[in-house]
Amino acid sequence: MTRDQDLFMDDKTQTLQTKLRQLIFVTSGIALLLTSVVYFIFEFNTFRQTEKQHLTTLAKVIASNSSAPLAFDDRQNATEILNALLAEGHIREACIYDLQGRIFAKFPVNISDSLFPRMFKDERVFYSGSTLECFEPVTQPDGMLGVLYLQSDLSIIYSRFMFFTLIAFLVVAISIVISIIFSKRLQLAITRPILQLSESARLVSSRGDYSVRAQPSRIQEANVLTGAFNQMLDRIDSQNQDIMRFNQELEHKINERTKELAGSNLKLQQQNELVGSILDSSVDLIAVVDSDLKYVIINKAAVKAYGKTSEELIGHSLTEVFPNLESSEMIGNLQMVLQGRMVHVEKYFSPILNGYLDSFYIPLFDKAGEVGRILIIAHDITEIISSNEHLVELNAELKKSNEHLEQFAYVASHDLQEPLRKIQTFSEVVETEIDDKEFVQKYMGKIRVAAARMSDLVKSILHYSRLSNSQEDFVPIDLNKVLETSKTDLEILIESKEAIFETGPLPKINGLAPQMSQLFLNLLSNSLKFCDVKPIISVQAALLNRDDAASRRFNFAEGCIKLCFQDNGIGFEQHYADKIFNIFLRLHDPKKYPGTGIGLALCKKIVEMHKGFIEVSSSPGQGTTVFIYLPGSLLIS
Amino acid sequence: MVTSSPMVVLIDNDEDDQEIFIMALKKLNKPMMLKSFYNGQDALDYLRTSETIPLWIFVDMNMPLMSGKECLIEIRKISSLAESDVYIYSTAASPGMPDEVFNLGAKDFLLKPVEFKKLVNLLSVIFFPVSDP
Repeated sequence: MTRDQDLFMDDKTQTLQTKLRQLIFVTSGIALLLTSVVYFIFEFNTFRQTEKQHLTTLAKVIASNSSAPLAFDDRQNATEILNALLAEGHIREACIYDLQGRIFAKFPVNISDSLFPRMFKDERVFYSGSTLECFEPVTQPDGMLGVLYLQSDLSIIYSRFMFFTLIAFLVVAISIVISIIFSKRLQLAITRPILQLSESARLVSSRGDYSVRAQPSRIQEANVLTGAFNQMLDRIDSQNQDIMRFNQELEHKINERTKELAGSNLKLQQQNELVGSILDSSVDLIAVVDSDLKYVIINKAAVKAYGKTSEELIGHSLTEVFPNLESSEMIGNLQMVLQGRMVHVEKYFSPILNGYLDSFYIPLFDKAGEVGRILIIAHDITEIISSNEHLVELNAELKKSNEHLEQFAYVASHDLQEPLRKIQTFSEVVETEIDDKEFVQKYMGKIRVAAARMSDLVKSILHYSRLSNSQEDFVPIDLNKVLETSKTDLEILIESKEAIFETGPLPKINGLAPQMSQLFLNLLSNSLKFCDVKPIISVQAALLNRDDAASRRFNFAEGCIKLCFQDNGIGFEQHYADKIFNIFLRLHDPKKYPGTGIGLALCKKIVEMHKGFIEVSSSPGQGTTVFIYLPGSLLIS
Repeated sequence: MVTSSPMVVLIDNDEDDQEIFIMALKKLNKPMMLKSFYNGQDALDYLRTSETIPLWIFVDMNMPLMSGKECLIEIRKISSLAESDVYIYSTAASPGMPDEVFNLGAKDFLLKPVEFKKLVNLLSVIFFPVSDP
């Protein structure tokens, strides 16, 4: 059941016909009943009044007739008079009292005197229960003789009334039935238009069809109702059509607007995608934060650099995501940007990335002119910084190497020019004294010596430069063999000076073979050269672990190999120890101790090529000890 | 010993260069007195005690043990030699070396001339700047 039907067919509601029928039934029933009751009451009272009258009349007649018997004390006559009452069937009892109240005569004769009431002297009529009683004095013109008493039985009359009542009810019932039959036909005329209206309403309601119309009828009020109903339907119908038309228009408009929106949405989406792809394709870190420093936008590069997902960043504040930013330089800068200033930090060390950024913090102003958001653009310059640092290192190295080169150029030009100048000067002098044979011979000798020295120098320089530029690989070298070879090379000098060697076992190492031989040769030849007595030369090796003082001093992580070349030569002041490795430096008189001044410089170079260090300890007349420290990693066990 | 001839001091470890210097001095044909040393230490020992004040001191730059520069510093410490002109005398010059020695009190930085005649001229200009224009 739908709610609409419910509205019309409630359990508590009744059809119009039922209601009308009930109405007619009740109305006609009440009318008939009231009529019957009024009639009955009237009839009843009239009857009682009549009965009273009738009994009084009867009592007066009998009393009049009884005066003689009473006066003459003729009981028999009195009883006969009373027996005449038999004709009046409704008189149940009767008696005549004498003046003393004694029963003089009675009717019927056989009933007991005690059944009669006490005598009343005056005239009265009254109802007692279902009986009507009457006292009537019996008089003579000279006075009262006695009292007549009559008792009338009303029950027969009452039963007749009951019968009347029954008949009345029957009449009422029949009347009602007839009225209902009549009303049924009559009411149809009234209910039909209303029922039709109701049916129309039901149709409208159940089908929603507002084109349905109620039929007019002959009843004026029903017609007004139908007319109003139809008018209402007309209005609803037209309003409905209006609404439908309006709906269609609205739908059309919505469709158009939706299309437009979809179009602009597509454009917006494309625009957004373009902006997003531009942001994401940037190699720079780009982020936008709001005034609470919460991430609003973050591009791929930044997400990747931070090692987070964008969900972990968007909507969260910087310090929430990266607690170590609290009280950092960056937060301070962002606070400044919130005041409306752009901040550019050329070199910012980011604790998040553990690298350097070139950062721009740009305020983005909202319509109110407040800094609503901050655009952060950061370029990772860690590599540039590190390559810069590397460049600085390289620069320092280059500077050092340049200084070396400058020194080398100076010293080379100095030492090369010296013999050249001598040759030129002496040959000029010789020219002027060409006839002085002794003079010429002397200076020609000097010229030869200078030329020979020149030749030596050129060879040594060539050697030094070749050694510096060498690109050879490290090979296994047995230092014992290197020592033996060097001794063989210096055999003549060793024999002429009668030198004694004290050598311990030497290790095998990875190194540059020709350079290592040169190193040994130079050191041994120095020991032989700078010695005025029989040379005693000691060559020893020791392996030092990483905890040894020397290893620690030179930062050898894997320990080191220590080589000692000790002699008993002329030695030198210890404060020259650093200088003697400079190229072309000679401490001693070149006439007595000839040399190019390149030997020890070369030794230093060779040791450095093996990532080692060279030191010297000496004092004049006490001999010299050269210490060489090579990285333990070169050792071949 | 007092002498009327002006004194020149030469400090050079190179025997040949000393000889060349003496020859050039002779060519000038003027009364000069020369005192030469092979190293700075010997020269300083002499100069600290000498009664004769040299007018000119020539110091070779490249010498073993004590370099010309160190020698110049020591000479400038000797108050009696305040009036002496000290010349640094070298085969070659490295950049900045002349300025360095000026600052240390040298009168000039001289390159040893390659030609003998030029050396004679150089010495003549130093010793007799006015008389030989």
